[in-house]
Amino acid sequence: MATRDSTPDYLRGVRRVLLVTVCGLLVALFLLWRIDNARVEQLRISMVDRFVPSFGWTLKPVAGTARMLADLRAYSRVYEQNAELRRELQRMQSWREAALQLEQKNARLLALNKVRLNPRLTFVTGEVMADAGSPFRRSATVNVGRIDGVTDGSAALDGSGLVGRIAGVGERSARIILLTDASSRVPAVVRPSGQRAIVTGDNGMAPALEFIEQADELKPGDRVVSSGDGGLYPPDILIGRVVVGNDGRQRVQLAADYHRLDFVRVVRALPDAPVDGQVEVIGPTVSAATPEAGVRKAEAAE
Amino acid sequence: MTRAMTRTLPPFLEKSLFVGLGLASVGAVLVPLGSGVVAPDLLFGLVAAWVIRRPATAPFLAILALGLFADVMTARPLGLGAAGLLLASEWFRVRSPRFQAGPFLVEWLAVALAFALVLVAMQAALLLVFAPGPGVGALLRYALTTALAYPLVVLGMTWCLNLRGSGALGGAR
Repeated sequence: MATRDSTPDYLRGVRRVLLVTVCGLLVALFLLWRIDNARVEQLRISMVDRFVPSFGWTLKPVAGTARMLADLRAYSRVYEQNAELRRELQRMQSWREAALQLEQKNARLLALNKVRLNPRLTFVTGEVMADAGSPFRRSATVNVGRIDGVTDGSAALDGSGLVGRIAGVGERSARIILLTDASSRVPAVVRPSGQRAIVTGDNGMAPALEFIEQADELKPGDRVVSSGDGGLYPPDILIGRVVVGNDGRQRVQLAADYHRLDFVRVVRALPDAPVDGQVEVIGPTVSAATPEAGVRKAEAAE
Repeated sequence: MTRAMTRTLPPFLEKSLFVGLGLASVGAVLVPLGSGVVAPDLLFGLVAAWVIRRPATAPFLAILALGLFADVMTARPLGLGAAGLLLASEWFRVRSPRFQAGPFLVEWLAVALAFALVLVAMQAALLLVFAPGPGVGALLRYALTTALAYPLVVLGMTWCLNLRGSGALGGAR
């Protein structure tokens, strides 16, 4: 590329044409992204999958420094925090006792009942590697992907509540669309009153509650949990508490710690094992005509 | 002042330094700082500062590639960010001698305004195709942090790497 002072006039014209052509192509790319979003986003996630792990060595120290600075700020309140923690610990001791007793009772009852619960939900825990980096999306990239059994649409949780849903899975990384993103919608139930609503992200820190059956029955402080409608999110996962926003709308103060997303659990919903064809007895074949054989077959099926 | 007296990097090395720093600035904004914190667009600042100081070693194609890479990595609407970056960089490239001669404050304001214009154009394009965009507040914060980061980028370039404009070539690496 020549510098400006040595550029002849005709070359500047060529340059202008080149610039306009390239910008036209980029706008076409934008339209393609708008029209065929799924495929282009898949391309994006595969590139993120390819490059973000190799950025790890730069991301780690910077993130560590930022975290230390945030911790330094917390040092000023360390005395109050200590006292507060002590009080909480005392309260928790009694809860722990209650929980232990309940656990023992539960175990006894389960033993009486001979129930064998099938773990339908399993988790895989990943570390947040990167966030969106621009205000156009509220998302985070975690270091678990297809090889860990993560699928598109799985719910993601942190220790205390729902974080978002997987949108875009790479081989070793996946992107989580956070609940605060403008495209996030979660069907939810507000707990004591049982009202159904949709938790709607709008790029703010507290998503709005929309389509509430009877809005006046909600009180600030009510628990919002996922309802499981639509089958995307498992039911009864804590989302947050109802608050009234500055704009007077009912919003959800998220339970998940969005200021510090370090580790995220991704739900791996195991699909029911599909049964193909007819159930057949494994072993010596008997004629299916006799009723006896039918009974035996039913037993085998169980 | 003759160029022979001052030792600078050979052009291809300076170009690869530009590309390397561009990649690093994309990586840097990906650091998870927690929600609510808007990272500045470091790439925009770097490209603007470089194009104003060293237009010869900031090739058009490299800026295009870096813009697209940033679009992919930082979840921006694909293509729009790269187009805005390219247009802004060409605008600065043409005016680079004027900015080099003028005071830094003018350059700073111009870069901040250019970035704000790019954001407005992106928001308008998103509205045109009925795509949900970020709120005005988030965009304002984005523009503000990028503007605040710009002097730091320039400081890093001129002070640590000694990449000054051709009008004020320092004698260093």
